[in-house]
Formats: sequence, structure tokens, C-alpha cells
Amino acid sequence: MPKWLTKDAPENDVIVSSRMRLARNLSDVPFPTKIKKPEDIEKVHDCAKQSILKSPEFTYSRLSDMDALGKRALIERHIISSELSRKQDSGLIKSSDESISVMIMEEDHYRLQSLVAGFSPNKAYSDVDLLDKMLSDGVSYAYDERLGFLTSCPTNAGTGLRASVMMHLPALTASRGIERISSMISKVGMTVRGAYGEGSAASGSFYQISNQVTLGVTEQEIIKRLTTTVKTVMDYERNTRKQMHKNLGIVLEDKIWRAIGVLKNARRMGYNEAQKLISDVALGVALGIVPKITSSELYSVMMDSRPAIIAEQKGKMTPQQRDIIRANMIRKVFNN
Amino acid sequence: MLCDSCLKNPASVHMTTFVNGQVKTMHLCPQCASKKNKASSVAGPSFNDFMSSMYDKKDSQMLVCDNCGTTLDEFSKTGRLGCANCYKVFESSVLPVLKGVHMNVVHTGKHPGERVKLEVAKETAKNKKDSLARELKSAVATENFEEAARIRDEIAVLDKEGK
Ligand SMILES: [Zn+2]
Ligand SMILES: [Zn+2]
Repeated sequence: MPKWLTKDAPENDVIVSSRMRLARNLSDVPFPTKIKKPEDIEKVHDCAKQSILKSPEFTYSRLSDMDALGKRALIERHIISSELSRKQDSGLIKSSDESISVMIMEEDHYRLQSLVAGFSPNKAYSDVDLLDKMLSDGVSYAYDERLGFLTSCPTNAGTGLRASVMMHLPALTASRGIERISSMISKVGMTVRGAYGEGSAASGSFYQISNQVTLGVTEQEIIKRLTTTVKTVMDYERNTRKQMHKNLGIVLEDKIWRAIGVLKNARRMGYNEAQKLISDVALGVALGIVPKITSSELYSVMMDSRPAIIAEQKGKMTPQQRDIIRANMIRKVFNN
Repeated sequence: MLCDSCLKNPASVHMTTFVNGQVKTMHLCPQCASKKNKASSVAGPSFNDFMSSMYDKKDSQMLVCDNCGTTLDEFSKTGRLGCANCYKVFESSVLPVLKGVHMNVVHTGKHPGERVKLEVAKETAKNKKDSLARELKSAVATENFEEAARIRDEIAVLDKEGK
């Protein structure tokens, strides 16, 4: 189970997690794409280590020292990007529960990140803001009075803040309400994208809503706008769920109980299928149709059943073997 | 991450589209995004506008940042700047990009070393109470009165703590 995924997280019938990311660069070293001198690269690593490792809850590692599987699992847990994993000179600092982390030498020198279960954007921001303060006390950031924090890609300049919330929206997906919402969201400088799918197709109705605009707005405004947007979508999803249950009645209940039947009994299960079925059950839990199991337990088993995370714990194997282990793992949870 | 379309340039634009009720996210480079943008209705903020404004300045394509060696041509291809100094050197090309993506080109957020104040305790406590209230409702609805009593006690504790 992901350690940061706490049990009774706020609004977790709809919201999986809140996440903040700050892009930061040193003022006197070229950005990672143009960095050439080895001593500059070491400086980027050393500055972060000196400022952040003062606190004993953090550990530092070099991506080049990790094996492929470990890196893949970090990607699946959304702690690092695949870009970071491919780089020779990149590093990672993370807290023991992985809720706070710094990607070193990704597109920018630093990507400071925080992750909190459920709907807690303020808590997530405060965590990353504290980390930013720790780092900034020891270094000189690339910062311009007019343009704010300078980043490799100008789409991140200004606050450098990407604030996002992961939502489970099965009813809006089924009713196609998500299409309408998406255009509404883009009008207020936000985007919605499918999340957790293998490849680029969304499966299991999970979405990430985040801000696109980072300059000309304060951090508070970005978070407030995100909060308002997410609350609107959340209410819409809850109402659509109720409406759906009212309209479909036993048809919907049957679908949910069948999903439980498969999860309890299957002997082989692919990740996309698991995700779809777990999404169905999560809807059942939120509607009070399914007792005894919680949303956080479902999110947790979904995250734990991602391919590399299984492999990380059980060793290297073929996808077919992995499907068997995944089915075993899920059966254990659902028969408990 | 490489561009899904040309598989050559780094992707910096993420576009979500809906095809037959299926959500698809594409990761594109600025050029491919601007091409796709013309055809698609759902996309990031007016990429067309700033891409065209960038390409209008063909006469200044020889501009080079003396600190990191990035050329204007490179910036228009990749959408990436090489160092803090690039922002000054390519200002006339960067500003239209910033105007296209963001609402404003004047930073109003915090400066280095500043802390942003947000009401965290209140948020978590309020959310907690909201979610308990919902749990209580569903417990009552499913006639799970033992659970309902437990939740009611929990809410009472939160109230007493003044949250
Ligand atoms: Zn491309
Ligand atoms: Zn430069």
C-alpha cells in the first residue's frame, strides 16, 4: 500500500489525491538541456543535498545507481517522470513515505513535489512550500522581478506551480458529462487529462485536473481556482452518480456486484481490467451499495497492482505470470 | 517525453481529446500542437497565436544566447530555453509565448524565500467533518446504527476541539 495514502482522506469518494509541483532552477548554472560542465551538474545535486538532507526524513539517490525495475516502479507511483529515469545525471530526494520529493536535473534543475491523499490542496501546497523555503535558503534561484521563477519551458514560468487533483469520475464518464466539463475547465485556465491508463488511453475513469496558467496569478489564486473547479466537478459527479443509481437501479447494482464477483474469483487479471473493475466497485462503495470496503482500500489495491510495482516486490517475470500474481493479490484483498 | 506525433522533438504540450467517448491524451511538441490545434476543438490556450508570432521573426533567427549557446531557432523548435539569460536575449520571442499561455506576463506570486500562508488545519478539519457527515448519512440510510453512533461521537469530538 502506498504509504502516503491515508485511510479517511477528505472527499475520498471522488478524490484520490492532491499533488503540487514547483519548478525551480539555480541562477548561475545553465538549465539541464544546456548544462555541460560536470562541476555544474554536481553543484545542482550538492545544493539540494545540503539544503534538504539536513532533515533526516529525506534520502538522496542517483538514478544511474537504480535498476530498471526500481525506476519503473517509481514512475508508476508517480514519484518520478520517465524523462528523469532516462537521464544519466539525474537524482532524486524523497521522504520515507514518498509524499515529498525532489526530482533533480529533470527538465528543470529541481522539481519539488508533494502528494497528499484525498482533497487537501492547501496541505499539499504547504508541504511543497516548506520544501521550497528549505532549498531557497541555501541557493540563489533563477528569478526575475517581472517574470518570477524562470524555467526551461516558458509554460511553467512565474510561480512554477502545477497544482493538480486526481479524481475518480465514473458517472461523468458514463454520462459523457466529462466532455462538457472539459471545455468549461479549459476556459478557466485548467486542463483535464485521463490518468492511470496504460498508454495514453484513460481506463477506469480516473482523471487529473490541473492548472495551465502559472504566470500572472498568485499561488493562492491558482489553488483557489483549482479548489473551486474541483468542487464543481465533484458535486456534478456525486449528483450524476445518484441520478444514475436512481435511473438504473438493479442494473447498476448488478454491474457492481459482478465486478466484485470477478475480483474475488479471477485467476488471471491484466492491469487495465483490474482498474476498470475496481473503478466499478469504488462507485458501489460511494453509493453505499457495497459495504465493508473503503475507497482508500480500493485506490490502494489499484496502485499496488501496477505492473512494475508487482515486479518490484515479487521479482522479474513475464506479463502472464504477473497477471496471475495480480489476480492472487486482488483475491486476497476482496475475500478479506 | 517525446512528441507523440513526430517522435522527434520533446513534448511540452498536453492535449486531451475525446473520440467516441474515449479520452485520449496526446503529448506534443509546440509545432505538432499548433498543427493539431487547427483541427481540434479541445486544446490548451491559443498555441496558434504565439507560434505564428514566433515564426514571424525569421530575420532574427541568428540570435544566440552568449551564456548557454541556445539559438532562437532552437527555441522555436523545442520551446525550451537554455538558461536564465535566455529570457533576456530572446525576450521579444518569449513574451508572446508567455502572453499566449498565461493570463498575464507580470509575476504576482511569491518571491524566493517567502512562505505562502494557507489555512491548512481548517481545511483538513472541515473536510473531515464534511466527509464524516456523509458517512453518517449513508450509515443511517443502510440502517447501520452502530456505525452511525460511532461517527456521531467522532463529529462531537471535532466540534468540541472547535474545528
Ligand atoms: Zn512533434
Ligand atoms: Zn541561455
